[in-house]
Amino acid sequence: MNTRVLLRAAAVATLLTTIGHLTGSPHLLGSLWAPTNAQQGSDVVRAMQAYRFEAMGFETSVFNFYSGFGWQLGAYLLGHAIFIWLLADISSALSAVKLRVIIGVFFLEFLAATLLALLTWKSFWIPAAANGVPAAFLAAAWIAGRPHTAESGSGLMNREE
Amino acid sequence: MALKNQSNNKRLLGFLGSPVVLMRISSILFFLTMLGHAAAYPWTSTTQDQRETKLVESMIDTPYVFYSNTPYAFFGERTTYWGLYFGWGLLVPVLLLALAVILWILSGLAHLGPRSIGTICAVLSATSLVGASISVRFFFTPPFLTYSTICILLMTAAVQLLRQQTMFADGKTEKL
Repeated sequence: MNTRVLLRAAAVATLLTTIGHLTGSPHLLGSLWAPTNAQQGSDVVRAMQAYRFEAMGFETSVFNFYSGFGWQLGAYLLGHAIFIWLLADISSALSAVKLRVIIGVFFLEFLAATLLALLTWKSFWIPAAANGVPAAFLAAAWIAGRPHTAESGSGLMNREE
Repeated sequence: MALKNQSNNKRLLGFLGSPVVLMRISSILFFLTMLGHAAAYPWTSTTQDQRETKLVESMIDTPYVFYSNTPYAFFGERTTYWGLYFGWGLLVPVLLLALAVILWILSGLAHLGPRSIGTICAVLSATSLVGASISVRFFFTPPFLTYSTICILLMTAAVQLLRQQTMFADGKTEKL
């Protein structure tokens, strides 16, 4: 498989991760971010909503921070999915070295996300798996993009080297 | 002398308004936002409020129950509400740092593939606009300001890049 196809696969996997993440929002379809199907869970969610404090002149709550982080991650994951898709578009035009640097940064990011998910969410393995799939595709794209296997492309950006 | 100064000012403005510089400033702002977010670790208030301590303890003690009423364990470990909150807090700077690095690298390629890089800038600008609105709804002023600034800078860079023609040696336009 060539780099372009693998990047497209990584973009689709990232999009699916985004959809999975965002549908868990209490403001959208379900309450996966804050399930209240157990009494203890219900109590802690209510306590997170009820405890309010002032941060930089704004009155907010722990639940606001919690939801805000969730939404922020969703927005940036969606941005990443589109970004990686567009990167696939220009992959044949980029020099192999530059392309591998960009793919490498994305790979490290998804690898870090996978490890963080494993370390902090422990038994809740779905986010780790969801981040691991794009990481695997990105690793494959990085390997496929080696200079001797890379497509020569239009030469649009090869002149830089 | 006045003419020379005017010409220098014009050149400086042109330089500061160039897509490369706008993208690099945005990259620095992403990095600063990442630092600001990381500095608030572990994302609780600094007051020694008993209620907050109790809340954090209950978040640490409460298992995250996903779809069933029984918390399941993985290698003897359970996910808790604190784990989710803390994990998201750690993931945000990872994303921001990656964006800062990639945006910096792409800025060096902007003059070679303006249409493609311009589209990427537009996407990141839109994402930052969402980030700004999330900051207003859930957070506070500083992230709103940085995200709004990034949004404006990247949109300006995108408009400039999308207007440019690609520099093909053979005179063809960009075909991506």
